[in-house]
Amino acid sequence: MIEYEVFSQRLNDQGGVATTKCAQVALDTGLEGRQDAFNPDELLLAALAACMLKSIERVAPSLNFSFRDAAIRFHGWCQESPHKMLKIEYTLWVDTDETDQRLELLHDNLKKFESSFSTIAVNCSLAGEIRRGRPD
Amino acid sequence: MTQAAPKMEFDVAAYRIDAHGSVARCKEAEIVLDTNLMGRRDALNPAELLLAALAACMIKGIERVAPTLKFQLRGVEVKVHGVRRDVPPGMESISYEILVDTDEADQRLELLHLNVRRYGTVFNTVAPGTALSGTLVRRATAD
Repeated sequence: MIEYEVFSQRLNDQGGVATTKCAQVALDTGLEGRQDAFNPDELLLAALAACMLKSIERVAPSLNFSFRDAAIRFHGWCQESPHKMLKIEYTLWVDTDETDQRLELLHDNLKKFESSFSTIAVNCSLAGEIRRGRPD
Repeated sequence: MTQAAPKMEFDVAAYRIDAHGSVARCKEAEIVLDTNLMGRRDALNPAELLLAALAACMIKGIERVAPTLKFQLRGVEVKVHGVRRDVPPGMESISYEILVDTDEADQRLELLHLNVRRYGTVFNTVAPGTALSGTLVRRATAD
């Protein structure tokens, strides 16, 4: 069992900061929003992105899957009432010389980790595709 | 009943830098991601980012409802604690403590908490899938 602790603080009506370990992340918590920090929904997508990229680090060695690079793009939809994330779609790029079949195998293995997100966001649909190469 | 149409959309992209980390980009902001299998101290890992998202959601929720409730406050702090479960992989429980620096009555603090729980996007997204519990209390005034 692993435990995590994050401390967050409102700095003013424009934003706040989250702290854990030796790391800090600026929080866009103002009502108008701001360009230089992630808002709560964007942070949720960042958490998911980190989850997928970390899963690749975990899964690739066990499959002997060699790759040069990986990137992922998320698009999320929220509904107004009740306020919740409704749907998340992603495109995952993996820069590799492995066959298409092996690329799908990697994706299948990553889907197991998607399930860890599904247990968190129960009523939020998550779907995506895997592509070869790097994003435009 | 037809479902309400989605109202807001969000985009986030993330790029692997190397085996130690990645970077997430959104708008003009960047966050370094701890995607290292061994972990690292100078960046948030996926679980910590989830907890940060939840905390941000609570602070923003307070920002949103405080003017409506005419709730006066000087500061907000949020401590979030998550316990991960391996089988099936997921977050077993999340507990939080919201500390509000205010002179408002206890009843009004309860009202604020109710509103934070009701209107937070991340809160409502995460709540059904984990044991989510917590309190909103008055922060002891600093000496």
